[in-house]
Amino acid sequence: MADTHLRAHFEDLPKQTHAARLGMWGFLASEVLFFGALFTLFAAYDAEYGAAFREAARHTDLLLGSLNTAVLISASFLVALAVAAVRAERPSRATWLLLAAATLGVVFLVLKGVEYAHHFRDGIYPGAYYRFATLPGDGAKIFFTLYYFMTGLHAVHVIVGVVLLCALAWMTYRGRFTAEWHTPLELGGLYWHLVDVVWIFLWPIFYLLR
Amino acid sequence: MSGTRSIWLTWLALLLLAGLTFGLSFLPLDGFSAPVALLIAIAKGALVVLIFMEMLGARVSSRLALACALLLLATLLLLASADVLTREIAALPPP
Repeated sequence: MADTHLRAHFEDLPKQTHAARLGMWGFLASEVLFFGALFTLFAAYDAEYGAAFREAARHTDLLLGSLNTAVLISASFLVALAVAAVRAERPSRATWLLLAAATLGVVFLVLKGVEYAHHFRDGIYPGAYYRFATLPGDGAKIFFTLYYFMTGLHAVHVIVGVVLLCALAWMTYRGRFTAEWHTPLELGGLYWHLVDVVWIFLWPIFYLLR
Repeated sequence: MSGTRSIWLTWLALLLLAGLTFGLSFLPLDGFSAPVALLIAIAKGALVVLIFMEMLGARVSSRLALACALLLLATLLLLASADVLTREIAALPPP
């Protein structure tokens, strides 16, 4: 049964799974550097505009941002439970866990959208469109441009993750995964956890350093 | 099911650490608030990577991929900081 998943160029299933994991970690490593470059940019501008950045961070929504941290941590937790459930041969439980995690992903996006809407109402737009009268300086403008770019890029990852989780839930529901073979679920889970890790670092720099 | 036990404990630890960061952000820690918040973030990230992403039991090949990323990231941060933080010194007038 498990052999149907084995490709011709691999000797056995464990070797194929290890190769798949290595491929995924290679991709995740490139994602770490992708976001890492933006965090470095933030740090470099922070050295220049530290005071303005602290001031600007007081105008992000601490409550919604913190709520979103709990939401993403919990979504990650549910996916970890889903992988454990498939390994324990409990696919229906895993399906519900994945759907719940995807729902939390949507909740995150809705809260983020509400935050963006509040900012737009105040005239906080990225780049040249910035017109927030309370903080007119260059520092705040750069802070919010980075805020939109980094949280926006992260939100794109959340959208991809939600689609992925729905597809994985469907595959789990159809009985595609077994305790021996569930590589797509495992790799999809790894992606979702990375999205969580990125937010764990976005949260303090944009909401807490006030 | 010892597997799910560690997952539950990690979730609780992550929520507690998040709550701690939230609470600490209201205290006047002056220059220490940023390092403290980032250190807690690193601890949370490590928990997710080690337990949820199963880096603890991972093969050397996967660990190597992550280690390369972290090493390159550290290099990037270090060199960028070295540039930005030494600009003021370079701009001092000669004695």
